[in-house]
Amino acid sequence: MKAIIILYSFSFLVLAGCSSLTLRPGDFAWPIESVSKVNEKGMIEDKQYYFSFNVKELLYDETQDSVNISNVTLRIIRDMNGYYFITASKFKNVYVFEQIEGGLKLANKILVTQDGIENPAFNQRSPYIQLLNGQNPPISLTKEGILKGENK
Amino acid sequence: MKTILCVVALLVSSSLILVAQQNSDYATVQLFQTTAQSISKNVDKANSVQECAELNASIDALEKEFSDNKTLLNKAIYPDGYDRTIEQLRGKLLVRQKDLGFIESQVIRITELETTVRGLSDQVQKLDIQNEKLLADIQMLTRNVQKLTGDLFNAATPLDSLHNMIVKLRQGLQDRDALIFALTDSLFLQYDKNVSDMKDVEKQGLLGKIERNNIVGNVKHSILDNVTFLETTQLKGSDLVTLVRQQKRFQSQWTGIAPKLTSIYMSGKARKYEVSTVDSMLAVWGDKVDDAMWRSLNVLFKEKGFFVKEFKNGEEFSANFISFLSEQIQNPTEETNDTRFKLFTNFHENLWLTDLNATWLPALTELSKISDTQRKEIEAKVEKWRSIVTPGASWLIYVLVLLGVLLIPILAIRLFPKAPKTSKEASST
Repeated sequence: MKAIIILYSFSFLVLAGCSSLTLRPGDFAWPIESVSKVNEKGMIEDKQYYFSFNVKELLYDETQDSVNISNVTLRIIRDMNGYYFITASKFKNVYVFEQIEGGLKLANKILVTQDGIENPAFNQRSPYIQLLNGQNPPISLTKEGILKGENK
Repeated sequence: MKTILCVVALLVSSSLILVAQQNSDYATVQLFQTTAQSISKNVDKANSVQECAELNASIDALEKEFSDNKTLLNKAIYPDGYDRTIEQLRGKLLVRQKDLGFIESQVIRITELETTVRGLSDQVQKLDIQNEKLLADIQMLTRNVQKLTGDLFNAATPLDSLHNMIVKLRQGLQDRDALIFALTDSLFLQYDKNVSDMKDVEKQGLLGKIERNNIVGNVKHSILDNVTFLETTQLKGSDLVTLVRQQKRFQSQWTGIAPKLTSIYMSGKARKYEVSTVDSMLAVWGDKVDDAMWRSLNVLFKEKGFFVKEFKNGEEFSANFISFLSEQIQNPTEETNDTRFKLFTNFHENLWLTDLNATWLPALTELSKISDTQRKEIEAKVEKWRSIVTPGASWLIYVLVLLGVLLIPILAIRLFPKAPKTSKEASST
């Protein structure tokens, strides 16, 4: 019996040491969006949230143009779950990215309007991200898409 | 001074920008930061007590304007946030004031005046919007009613909804006029001295404030609104008298500030003409309101069926009305007593008591359109007309005379009873 208890305790310690450590809950929401201009190398840099990444692929996906990329102003915001929402003026879509090692990976591409978004702006409205689209009513977004009941 | 103007412009335009941006949090934060930075830079440059007071009021305005976004700003601006930004600006201004040797109480007093100016300026803007809407509504309603009824109906027609709107607009215009002059007073009070005693820097500062608050523009706007109101509403009687009074009050208030403005505007030729332009506009308004008043009074006589020769000013009114009354007294057409009595009764009950003596004569005297002597002369003539045409006046006198005649012997008998009988007369009996 004593041997069984020692064995059981030992195996519990071994298993606990091998399982991945999870920290929950977490809130990664930015209070306000980041507004950054793309440079000639296709990079954006933010000095408030301290990040930088290359957006050439994103711009090509949206505009089918990888040449005229500089001076595009991207608007980026992070939701409470840590997903990045990215768009820009005249974009048809909002791109949702998740963080991976050394970069971002597309999690979803949300079509907002075929006419292109007018003067977009993101607001943090946890658990949603609010998208302002010119004079149109604001839209609530999650990483899955536009919140049901909102106008597309 | 230009930079201070920018701060105020930023604050004033902030709400508009936020509306235009559909409340973008990013835009709100940017605006707050830009305004705070601008105020901070101006604190470094401030040299006069007025500038310090103005910056103090700007910090108050910044705090008030963004108080609803306090949570957002505290989160978004690291490490200072909303509270510390405001606190730092106040601290910086206090240090600057001490460096310049300004007394705190003086700054506070001028800040209060500056805050009053800003509050009044906001109220003027709100009233502008309200009055413009009311005027448009009155014009539309008048047009619609006229379309339906032809010329029989106009803004002067007693129609409840229209009348209510007119009363509201008249009050709105009066309030606006009062606010503009109160605002101007508050601006001059900040300097606590005559314009002639001011330094050039102070004059420039005051000029900046006058222009920023668009004092002359607002005065012009008021005059134009009042003229449009006068022309649109075609008011009569006591309503019109109120408008005349309003014009006179406005003129007197303008006369009070015009010389000060002229002294401030001395530096710029174009600005100097601003004051004379207002003078001309005021004269036009005065003429129009006077014309409307005399026209209304002429119409009143005609409507009530009394043919007084047309008049266009106080002298003519007095002369023509007295001439009319004299004619009634003299009776050159030899009307019968009955006809004259009926005419007088009609005049007395439907014109004299209701309009002339109740409203017009006191107003014309008060507005110095006629003199006290002229008014008394008119009143005396009316009294004389009454005494002549009132039936029974003559027989009453006869009755009184008769009574007098009868009373004299009675009184005589009572006062002087029969003398007592003499002793001779007594012995004979």
